[in-house]
Amino acid sequence: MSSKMNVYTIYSLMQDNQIQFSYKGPITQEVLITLGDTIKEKLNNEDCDTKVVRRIFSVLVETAHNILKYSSEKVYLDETNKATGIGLIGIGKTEPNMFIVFSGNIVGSVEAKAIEDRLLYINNLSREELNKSYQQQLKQGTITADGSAGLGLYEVARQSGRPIEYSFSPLEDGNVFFELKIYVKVED
Amino acid sequence: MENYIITPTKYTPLIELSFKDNFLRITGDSYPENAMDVYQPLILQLEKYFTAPEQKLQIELNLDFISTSSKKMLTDIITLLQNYSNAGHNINITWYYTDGDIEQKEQWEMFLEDVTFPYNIIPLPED
Repeated sequence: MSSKMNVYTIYSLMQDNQIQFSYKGPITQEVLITLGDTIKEKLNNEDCDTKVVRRIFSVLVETAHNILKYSSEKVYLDETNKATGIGLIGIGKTEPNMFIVFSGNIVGSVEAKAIEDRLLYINNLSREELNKSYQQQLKQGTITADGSAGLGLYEVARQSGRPIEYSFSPLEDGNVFFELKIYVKVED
Repeated sequence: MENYIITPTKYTPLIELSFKDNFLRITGDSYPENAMDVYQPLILQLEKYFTAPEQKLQIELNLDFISTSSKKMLTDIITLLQNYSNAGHNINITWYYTDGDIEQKEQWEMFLEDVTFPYNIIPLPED
């Protein structure tokens, strides 16, 4: 049996983009732990500053939780007795001292609009305003029953220190492919 | 009264609330899918703890990787503790940070900036 799939193409694409690792599938807490441990170990081996490891880890956790909760593509897992989101997540380097955490998942068009509004708002805040909004949301916001505090994108922006890159690509079925690129610099 | 102990996992901290020795310790990482599952039961235990008058509670927090929803729950717990302090209970927090990590230190300071009960933010000795 033959298929058109070319594994080497996927490998080369990842290699060329300096992707250290990437995963596509159901994002469960277990997957997150594995990705988290891998990146922690790798960065610690590279003698990366604890502060940077914590920043990258934080961005990874928030983006993974976004997919897990908000991807419109879901799969039901017997193990946990609930549905979890499907998406793509990974870490790479764009320059020797610049890490990138990227994610991609499908969302409905209404959700896409809401996410875009929030990203536009966050990206327009100064560093000071961002910290203020974050604190305000932390202290005055509420947490929903599924554990959403509405803080994930604020945190990602704070950890990155530069605008969040994103895009929304309409799909044929009316849904939208949402991608995020978050940069974390090694030195200050 | 029994002690309340939740054993840690890779993504949830060790939580120990001692009704006998008057301390609360939270140690480890905290990035569960739903932070409510972890901290809501603790809030119920704290409500039970503070039913006795003029309770003393020594709190020790030693957290490393922590998600935003966990931070939100901790913020709510600190607000709750402030209310108990206002009601005459004797509360004290020691919050550890990784030595040299100013970012983490500032993060913990932010959590405590509005409280009026005594607290310390001190470096964790390197192990």
